[in-house]
Amino acid sequence: MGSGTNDGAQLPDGVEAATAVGNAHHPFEFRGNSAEYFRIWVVNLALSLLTLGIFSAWAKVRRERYFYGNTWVAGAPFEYLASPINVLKGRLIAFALLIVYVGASQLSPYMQFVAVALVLIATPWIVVSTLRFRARYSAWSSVGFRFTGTVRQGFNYYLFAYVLLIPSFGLLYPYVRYRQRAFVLGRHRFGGHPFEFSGAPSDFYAAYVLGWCIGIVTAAFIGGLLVFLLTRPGIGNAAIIPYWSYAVVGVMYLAIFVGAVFIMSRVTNVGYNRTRFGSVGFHSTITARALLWIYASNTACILVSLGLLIPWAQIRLAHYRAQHIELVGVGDLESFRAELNPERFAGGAETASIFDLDVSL
Amino acid sequence: MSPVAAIYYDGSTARAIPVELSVEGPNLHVRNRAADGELVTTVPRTNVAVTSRLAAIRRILRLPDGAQIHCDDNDAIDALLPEYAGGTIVDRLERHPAAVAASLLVGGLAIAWFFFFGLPQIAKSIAREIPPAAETLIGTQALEILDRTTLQPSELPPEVQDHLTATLSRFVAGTPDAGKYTLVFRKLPGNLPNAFAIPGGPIVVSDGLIDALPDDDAFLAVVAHEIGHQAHRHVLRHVLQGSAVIVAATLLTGDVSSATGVVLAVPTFLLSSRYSRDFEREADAYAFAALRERNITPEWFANALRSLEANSPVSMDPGSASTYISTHPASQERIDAALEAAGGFDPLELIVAKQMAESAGTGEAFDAARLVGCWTGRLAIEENRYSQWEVSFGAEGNVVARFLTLDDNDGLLAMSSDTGRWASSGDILTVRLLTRQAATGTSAIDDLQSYVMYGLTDQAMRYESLSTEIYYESQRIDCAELSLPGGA
Repeated sequence: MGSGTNDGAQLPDGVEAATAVGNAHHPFEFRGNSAEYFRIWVVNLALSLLTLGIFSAWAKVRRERYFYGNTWVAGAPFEYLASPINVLKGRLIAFALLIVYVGASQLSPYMQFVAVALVLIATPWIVVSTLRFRARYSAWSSVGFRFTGTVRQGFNYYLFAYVLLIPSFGLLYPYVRYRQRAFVLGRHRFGGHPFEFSGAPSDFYAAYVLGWCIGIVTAAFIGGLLVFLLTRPGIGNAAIIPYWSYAVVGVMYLAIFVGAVFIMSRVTNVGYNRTRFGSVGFHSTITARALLWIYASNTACILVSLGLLIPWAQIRLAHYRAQHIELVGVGDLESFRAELNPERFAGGAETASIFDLDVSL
Repeated sequence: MSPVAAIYYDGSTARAIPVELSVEGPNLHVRNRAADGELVTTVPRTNVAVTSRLAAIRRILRLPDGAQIHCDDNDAIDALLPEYAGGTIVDRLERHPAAVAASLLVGGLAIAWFFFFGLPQIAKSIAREIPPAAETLIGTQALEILDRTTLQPSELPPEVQDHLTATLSRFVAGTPDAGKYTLVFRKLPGNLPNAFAIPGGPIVVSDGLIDALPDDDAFLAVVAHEIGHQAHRHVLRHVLQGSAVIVAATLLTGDVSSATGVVLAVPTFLLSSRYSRDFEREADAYAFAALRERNITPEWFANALRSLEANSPVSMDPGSASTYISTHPASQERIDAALEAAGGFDPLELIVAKQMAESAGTGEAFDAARLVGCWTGRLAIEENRYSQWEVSFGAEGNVVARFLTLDDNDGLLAMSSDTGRWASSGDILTVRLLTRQAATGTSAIDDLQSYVMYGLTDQAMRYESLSTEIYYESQRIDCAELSLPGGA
C-alpha cells in the first residue's frame, strides 16, 4: 500500500489499521455486543427447538461466525467458514455414539464395558478430526489454518499416554497434559508457517500443583468458615443439620471449580506465551481472579434473569479474553501479511475426508 | 451508484489491497484505490459467491480464481449485488423485532413445557430405574437424619403400636410388596399430626395423627394414601423433578446410579412433604382403590381428612415440621372424589348405625319415617345453664341442628348451627355432623354420635347417647316455627 491513498472514499477499518506499521504489539479486540448477539441467540434457540435440534447445526455456524467475525487482530477479523451441513454430519455422528453408549449401558453391564472401551478408542479420532475441522474452517485475512496431526499421533497422546498414569499414581497427569498441548499447538499451521510450542513440563507442573493446592486451601477455608459460623451458639440449630450434606458437596464443587479455573488460566497463558509462528508470538495475561469473578457474576446474572443474560455473559467473556491477548513481534504488518500464504495442496481443491468432522454436540 | 470500498486478497498471500467495487452490466469491477483506479479484475456477477449476512460482520466475496473480496459495508454490498442481498431468512428474523419477540416466546414456552411435562416424565422413568436396594438406602439415610434432627420417639403404648402394625399387615396382606410397608412410630414437635412415606417402604405416623383419627378405618385410609405415594415412588420423583441438573446428568451418562445423588434433598422434602396436586390425586386414587378392594368405604378417607382438619392446630412453628393438613389440604375436591369413589358402599352413618345395632341394640326397631320432621328439647347442663336444641331430620337423610346455650333467664350465651347426615338401624339412631357454623366461622368437623331409641311417638321421643350415656327427650314442633339455616 503506497502513500497518499486517502482519496476520500471511506476506508474499511481493516485497511486503515493495516497501514499503521511498526507497532510490534497488536492487541486482540472483540467488537461484538450483547444486544446484537441476543437476537442471534434467541432466534437460534427458537429455531433449534422448533426443528427438534436439526437447526442447531446452523445455529452453531451463526454463533461461531459471529464470535470469529467480531474478533479482530492486526486490522482484520477472523473468519469461520464451515458449512452447517458439515457441522450437522458431525453432530449426527456424536449423537449416534451417544445413543449407542446409552443403549449399551441399558442392556447389560458387560455391554456398558464394551461401550466405554469403544468410546475410549474413538476419543483420539474424535479429538484429531475435530481439531482438523476447526483449523480448516478458520481463517484470517483470507488465509486459512491447518492442523497436521494424525489420528495415529492422536492415539499416542489421547489413549496410550493415559496408561502412564496408572504406574505413576496420576503424578504424570500434568506431563500428559503438557504433551497433549504440545501436540495440539505444535501441529497447527497458519499461512504456511508451522506453530512452534516451547512450553516445558515444569510450566504444567507449576500450574497443576498450584491449582490443586488452591483447591485444597479453598475447601479448607470455606469449610472452616462454615463450621465456625454454623456451630456458634445461637445459630447452631438442629433444624439445619439436614443441610450439612448440601454444604459439604457445595464446598467440594466450589473448591474444584476454583482450582480448575486457576489451572485453566495458567495453562492458557503458557499456551499462548510459549507459542510462535515464524517471528511472531503471543502475549496472554488472563488471570484466574478475573475469570473467577466473571464466571461467578455471569452465573448469578444468568440465574436471576432466567437465562436471558446468557448472550450477555458470553459476550462479556469474549471481551475479557480478547482484551488480554495480543500478537507480538509483528515488525512490519505489510511484510508479515505478504509472507502468509493460503495453504494449497497439490491438485488445488482439497478433498475433505470423512475424517474432517466437528464431532461435538 | 457510488463505488463500494473493500479489501482485495489475491489468493496467494494475506496482502490486503484496498479496492473499490462497482457493477457494470453483468460484471463486477474491482479497482485499486491506491494505483489511480487501476482495474484489478473483472468477474461476471454470477460467478461471485457471497457469504450470507450476519449482524455487522464482514462479508466475503469469493472469486473463481481463489481471490477474495472482504467488505464491512453490508448495506452497500446488498445494494451493489442485489441478487445476493436476500440474505437468509434467519438473518431477516434476527433483524425483525416481532420475530425476536416470537422467538423469546417459543423459548419460554419450551422451557415451561420442559419443567411442567418433560421433567416429570423423565423423573418418573428414572425413579422406575432406581433399584429397590438403592431406594431403601436413600430412605434409611433420610430417616436417620430426621431422627437426629426433628423426630422424637413415640409415646404411644406398645399395645397400640402392635395393634396398628397388625392392622396394617392385614390391610396389605396379599399385595405384591406387602413385606416392604412398615409403620414407623414417631412423635413430632408439638405433637403435630402427620404421616409421610419414606422411600423404600416405611411410613412414618406421628402420635398426633393417631390421636386425631377416630378409628382404625380412618387410620387405614390415611395409610393407604401414603402407600399410594410409595407405590408411585413419589418422593424420588419429586426430588428428581427438583434437580434438573441431576436428571440431565443421568440422561447424558445413562447411569442411573448418579440419580441417587438426590438423597441429599430427601430429608428436607419429607419434612415439608408438599407434593404436587397430580401426585396427591394419584395417591388418593390408589388409596380409594385399595380401600374398596378390602371392602372399606373410601368415605373413611373423607372422614379422616375432616377429622384431621378439625383437630389441626391453627398456628404452627414454621420450618420445624408441618401438620398433615397443611401438607395434604383437605380440599372439597378431594373429599368429593372420596365420596364418589364410595359409590356402592353404605354411607358411614349407616355403617355405624348397623354396627351399633349389632353390638349395643336392645332389639326393638323404630320406624325411621316417623322421625322425619322437627324436634326440640332442653336439658340442664349445670347450675343455671341450659342447653337447648332444635333439630330437623330430612327424609333424604340430611340433618340440620341448632344448639343454644342459655342462662336461667333464657339469655343467649352461645349458639352454633350444624349440618350433617342421619341414619338408623334397629333401635339405633346415628347422627353425623359435618360442618359447624359458630360465631367464629364455619369449620369442618366429623362428629358421629349414636343413640338408642327408647320411645318414639308422633309427639315425643326418648333416647340415650351411647357414648355419654346421657338421657334425652325431644318434643315435635312445627318446622315453620323454626328458622334453621338451610332448614329442611
